[in-house]
Amino acid sequence: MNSNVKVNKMVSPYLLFFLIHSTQTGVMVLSFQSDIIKGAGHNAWLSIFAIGIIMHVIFLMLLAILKKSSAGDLLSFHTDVFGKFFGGFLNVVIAIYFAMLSLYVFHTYIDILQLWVFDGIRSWEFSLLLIVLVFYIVSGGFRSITAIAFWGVIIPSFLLLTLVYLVNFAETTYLLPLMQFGMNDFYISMKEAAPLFFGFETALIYFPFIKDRKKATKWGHLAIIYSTFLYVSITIVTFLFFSQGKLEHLPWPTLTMIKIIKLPFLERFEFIFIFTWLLVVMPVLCIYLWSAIRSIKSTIPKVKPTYVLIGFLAVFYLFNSLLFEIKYSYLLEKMVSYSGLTFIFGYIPLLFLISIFKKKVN
Amino acid sequence: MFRKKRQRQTKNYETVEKSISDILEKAKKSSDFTTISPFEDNSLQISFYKTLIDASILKESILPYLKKETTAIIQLSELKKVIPIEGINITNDLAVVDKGLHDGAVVIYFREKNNEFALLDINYPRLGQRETNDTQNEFSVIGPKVGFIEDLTTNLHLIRNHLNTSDLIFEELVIDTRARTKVTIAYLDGVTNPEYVNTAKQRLEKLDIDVSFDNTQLEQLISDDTSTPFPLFISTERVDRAVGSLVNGQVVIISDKSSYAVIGPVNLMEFFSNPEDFYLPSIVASFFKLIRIFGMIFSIFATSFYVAILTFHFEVIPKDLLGPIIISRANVPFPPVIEVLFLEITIDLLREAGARLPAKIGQTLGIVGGIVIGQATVEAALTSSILLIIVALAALSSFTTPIYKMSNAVRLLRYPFILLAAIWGGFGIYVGVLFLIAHLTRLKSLGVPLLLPLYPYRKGGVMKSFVTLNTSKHDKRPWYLRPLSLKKFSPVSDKDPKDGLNHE
Amino acid sequence: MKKWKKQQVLCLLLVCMVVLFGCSRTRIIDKLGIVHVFGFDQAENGELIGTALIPDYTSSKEGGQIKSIEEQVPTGGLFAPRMSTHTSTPIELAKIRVVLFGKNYAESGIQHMIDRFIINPQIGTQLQIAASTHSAKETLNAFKQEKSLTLAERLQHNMERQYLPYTNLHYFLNHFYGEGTDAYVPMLTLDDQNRVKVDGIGVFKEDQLKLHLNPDQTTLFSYVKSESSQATYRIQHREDEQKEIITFRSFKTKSNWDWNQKEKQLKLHLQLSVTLTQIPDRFDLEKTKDTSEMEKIVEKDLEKGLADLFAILQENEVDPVGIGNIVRSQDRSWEEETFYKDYASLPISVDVNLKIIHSGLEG
Repeated sequence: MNSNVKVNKMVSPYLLFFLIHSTQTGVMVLSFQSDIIKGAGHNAWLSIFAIGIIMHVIFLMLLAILKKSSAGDLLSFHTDVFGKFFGGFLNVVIAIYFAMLSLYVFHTYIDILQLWVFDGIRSWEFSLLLIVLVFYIVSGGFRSITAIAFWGVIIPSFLLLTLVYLVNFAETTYLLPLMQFGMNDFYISMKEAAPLFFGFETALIYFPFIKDRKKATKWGHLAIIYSTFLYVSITIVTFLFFSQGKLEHLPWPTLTMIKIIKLPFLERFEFIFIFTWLLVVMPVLCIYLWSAIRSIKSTIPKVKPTYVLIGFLAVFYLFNSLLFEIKYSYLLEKMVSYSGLTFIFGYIPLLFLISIFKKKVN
Repeated sequence: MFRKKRQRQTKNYETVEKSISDILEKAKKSSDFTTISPFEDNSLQISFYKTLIDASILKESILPYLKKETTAIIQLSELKKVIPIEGINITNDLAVVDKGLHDGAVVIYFREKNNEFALLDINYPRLGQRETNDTQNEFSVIGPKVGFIEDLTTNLHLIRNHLNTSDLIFEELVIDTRARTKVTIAYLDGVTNPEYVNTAKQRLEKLDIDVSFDNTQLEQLISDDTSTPFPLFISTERVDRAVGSLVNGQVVIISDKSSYAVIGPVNLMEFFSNPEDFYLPSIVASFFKLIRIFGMIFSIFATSFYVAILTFHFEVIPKDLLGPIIISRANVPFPPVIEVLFLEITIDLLREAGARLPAKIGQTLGIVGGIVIGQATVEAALTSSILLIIVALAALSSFTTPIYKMSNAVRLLRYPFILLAAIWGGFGIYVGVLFLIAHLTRLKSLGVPLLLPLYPYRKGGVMKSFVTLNTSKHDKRPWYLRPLSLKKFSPVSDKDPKDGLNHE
Repeated sequence: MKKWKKQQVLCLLLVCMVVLFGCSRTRIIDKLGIVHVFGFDQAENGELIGTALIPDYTSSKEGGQIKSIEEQVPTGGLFAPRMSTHTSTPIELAKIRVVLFGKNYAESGIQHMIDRFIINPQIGTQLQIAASTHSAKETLNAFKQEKSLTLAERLQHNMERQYLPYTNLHYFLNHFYGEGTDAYVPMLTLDDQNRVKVDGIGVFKEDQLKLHLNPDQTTLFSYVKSESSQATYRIQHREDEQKEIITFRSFKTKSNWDWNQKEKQLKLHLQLSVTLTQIPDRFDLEKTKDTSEMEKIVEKDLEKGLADLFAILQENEVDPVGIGNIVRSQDRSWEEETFYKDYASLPISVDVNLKIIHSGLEG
C-alpha cells in the first residue's frame, strides 16, 4: 500500500511491540481482578487466556482491513468505502471515541493518586501538570510518542520483580480446584476481562508510520502474547495471594498487593509503584490523543493539529475540574466499556467483512 | 521616494577597501604598522604589522640579504633569487594582500609602482601562548597528559604525530568575518561516514558570526538544538581522547585560538567514559563507570527526594529512621523546601566565588566556607544535619562526569526537580523525569539521536554503554554509527600452554 | 519573537498560580503526630473508645516522650477528627504498626472496624493485629510505662523464632473474609508486674473472639499452620513411674492433608524436622535403637496433643487451621454450610513423622 507518510517520520518495526503493549497496559491492570472473579471465581485466569487468543484473531482482521485500504490506515478505508462525507463523519466519531478513552484513563489515574497518595489535594493541580506534560510529548510528533512508549515499557518492567517478592506469601489452596465452573461463568469473566486488551485498535491509525510491515506484524503478535502472559501471571499471583472472599471487597487489588512489600530503606513500596505507573499510563494517553487528532486532521485538513490538541486538553481539564462527582466517573466507565466492546467485537469484524468484498483501490 | 525592497546585506561587515593603497593608508593609522626601506633611495618598501611577524626572521633572513645586494633591484621577481625564504608570492589581488598582511606577512613593493606586491609569510603565531597543556581539567592518573594548546598548527601536529596514517584528512575552513579564525575538520577517510563530515562542513560554512572566541562557542553555534542544557558534542583537551574518537569514526573539529577539540556525533553514554577506562582492567573500569552514572543520578534526584518525602510522603520512612530525622529537624523553622534551596544556593555561591578567588586567598576561604558555614548553620538550627550531608554529597557527585559541560547541566537540572517536588511531591519528580526523557529523546548530535544505542535500540550497544569491556572486544566499531568500515583490528588468541584441570 | 514571549508569559502564570496554591497542603514530617499503636475498646453504651500512642520527638532531644490520647466516639470513622482536637499536630494514621483489640470489644464483634481497615488505603498491610485479655486501655498504659514503642517488634520476633504462627493484617483479612477459614490473632496479657506479655493466640468465630489457646496448644497449632516455625515443645513422658522430659525445637514443618471424599474423613500427615535440646540421660543418640524409640515416644505424644487440639477446635466450632479451605481445594462438591454443620463430628486422624536433625545445646 502506498502511504503519504515521509520516511523520516517512520519508526522501526520492532517498536510496534512497545506501542501495542504500552497502550494495552493502562489503568485496568490495577483493578481488574475483583471484576473477573464475578463469573468464574478462582478459575478466571483461564478466561484471560481465551480473550488473548481472540485478540490475536481480531488483530489479524485488523491487518486485513489495513491491507485493503488505500493509504494504509482506517481513515482512508472509511473514505474509500463510505464516500467522502460519511467517511469523514465516521472518522470524527472515531476521534471522539479515542478521546473518550483517553479521558477515562486520565480521570482514573488522577483518582488513584488522590485516593492513595495525596489526600486533600484538589484534582485540578494534577490535571494541570499532566496536561502540560502530555502537550509537550504529543507536540513532538509520533516519534516522540514512540520514545515514551519504549521507555514506558522498559522502565516499569523492574516492577515485575515485585511479583517475585509476593510469591513468598502464596497459598496454593486458593487456586484449586481447577475447572470448577461452567461455560456461562467463563463467558461472564471473559466479558469483564476484555477491557484489559483495549488499546491496540489505535494501530489502525498509526500503522502507516511503521516501516516494513511484514516484520512489524510479527512484533504485533508478540506484543499481544506478552500482554496476555503478563496479565495471566498477575492474576495467578493475585489469586495465590488473596482469598476469594477478600478479593470481592477490594476495589484496587493490585495496589493492595503491592502494599505489603517492605524494603530496608523504604516502607510502603506502593508509592513508587503508583508513580512509576505514570510511565505506564502516559503512552496510553498520548497515543489515543494523537490518533484522535490525526483522525480530525484528515477530515478537516485546514486546522492546525496543535490547536486541536489544545482543544482536547482543555476539555480534559474542564471535565476533571467541573464534573468530578462520582456519578460521572461511573457513567464514563460504563460508556467506555460498552463502546470499547462494540468497537472491537462488532465494528472491526464488520469492516473485515466489507474489506473482503472490496477491491483494493490504489 | 520609493521604498526599495530591503536587500539582504552582503556578508561583509567590515568596510570594503577599494584598492591597495587604501589598505595601506588605513593600516597606517595603527601604531604597529611599520614601513621600512632597506635602500637609501627609498625605492623598495617593506610594510608589515610588527606585532604579527617574527622579528628575528626579518632581521636575520631578509634584511641582510637585501642590503647585501649591490645592484638595485628592479623587478620584484628578483627577490626570489636574493632572499632565502621560500614561498614568496607576487600578486596584485587586493584580497590576498589584505589577508596576507593580517596573517603576518611582510609586503614588499616599489613605491612608484602600485601593481605588484610580494608577500613573505613570516608570522609568529605562538607568541604569548603557553608551551604545553597538562590537562588539569581532565585529569587521569595513568595515561599521557598531553593536551591541546591555543595554536592550530601545534594541535594538528599533535594529532598527526599520534595518528600517522595517510587516511587522516584535515579540511580547513575560515569562518569568522572579522577574526578570520581557521577551523579544521579532521576525519579518517574510508572510516568516517561522509554524511557527518558534510553536515559539519555545511554548518560551519553557513555560519555568520564576527568573532568566535573559543571552539566551545562554535560548538554551540553549529549544534542541533540550542535550547537544551545538555551538551551535544564532547569537548576535550586531551589528545588521546580526540585520537580515540577519530579511530572510532567520529569527526573532530579543531580551531585556532582554542585549546578544546570538539568531537561529534556522540551519544549520551559517552559522556561518562574517561580515557583512563582503557588503561585500567575492564572490571575496575566498569565499576567506576557505573559509579559515575549512579553519581549523576544521585546528584540530580537526592535533594528532591528529600524534599518530597519530608513534605508529603512521610509514610515511606522506616520506623527507626523516623526518630533521627524528626529530631534533626526539630528546631528548624522553615519547611524543607526553603532549607534545601538555602543550602543549594549557598553551595553554588561557594562554587562560583571559589572559581574567582585569587589562589592564595582561595584555600583559606574555601575552608571557611565549607566547614564553618556548614557547622554554623546546623548549630543555629537553620538546617538539619542530615540535609547537609545529602546536599554536600549531591554537590560532589555532580562532578563525577568527566566532561565539564555535562556536570553543569546536572547542576542546573537539580533546581526544577526541587521545585516540582516541593509542589507536587513524588508525583512531581516523576513528571519531571518524564519531561527529561521526552526531552532527551528529541536531541540529536550531528543528526544522530543522542540516546543511541539505548533508544532506538541497537543490538550490541547496550552492554557497551554501561560497562567497559576488554580491549580485545573493541575490535569492531559500533555499527550503529554507520561507519564505512567496521573492523579495527583482529585480536589474536594467545598461544601460551594452557593451565587447568583439563590439561593435566 | 512573539510566540516565544507568549510561551514565557504563560509559563510564568502557570508557575505563579500553582506556587500560590501549592504550599498550603503539605504534611511536613516534624509537624505531625504519628500514631504507632492504636487500641480499641467498647464502652458500656456501645460506643468505641480509642487509645493512641504517639511519640513526641521534638520536645526533648534525648529520648522520646510517649503521649497517649483517648477518645470515645460513636463510630470508628470519627477517631482521627476527635483526637485531633487534643493535639497541636495533625494526627496521621498511616504509620500504625499494631492494632490492639480489648477483650470486651473483641468478644462483641469487630466486623465494622475490619471493614474500615480493608477500605482505607492509608493503612499498611504489614501491621500486626492483636487482642488482649484485658482492656486495650490498660494494656497500652502498661506498655507506655516501658517507655518504648516496640510492641510490633515484640510480636514479630515471637512469630519468627518462637511459638506464635506468623500472621499480620494481610493474613488476618484473608482468613476473615475467606470461606473455609477463621481468623486468629496473638493474645497479649498483663503479668503480675503489670508488664505486657505474649500469651498464645485467640481464635475468632465470624467476628467475635471465641477461643483462647494456651502456649502449648499454640505451639502445636503453629506446627500445623506455618512452615518454618521454630517453636520449642516439651514432652512429659512417663516411663516406669519416672517423669522424663524431652524438649525439642522444630526446624521445619510440612503438613499434608488428605481428604477422603467418600467416607468424609480427614487425615493429616505432619512432617517435623527437629533439633533435640533436652533428652533424658538414658538415651544415647548414637544408637539407632534409642533414636527410633525416642522418635516413637515424641510422635505418639504429638499425635495425642494434636488430636486434643482438634477436638477443642471442633467443640468450639472454630476453624483457624483452614480445614474448610483445604477440603474445598480438593473436593469439587464442597459447600460451606453443609461442611460446617458436620464439622463438630468430623473425624480427623493425625500421623506425625519426626526427623531428628541434630541435638543442639540451646537452652
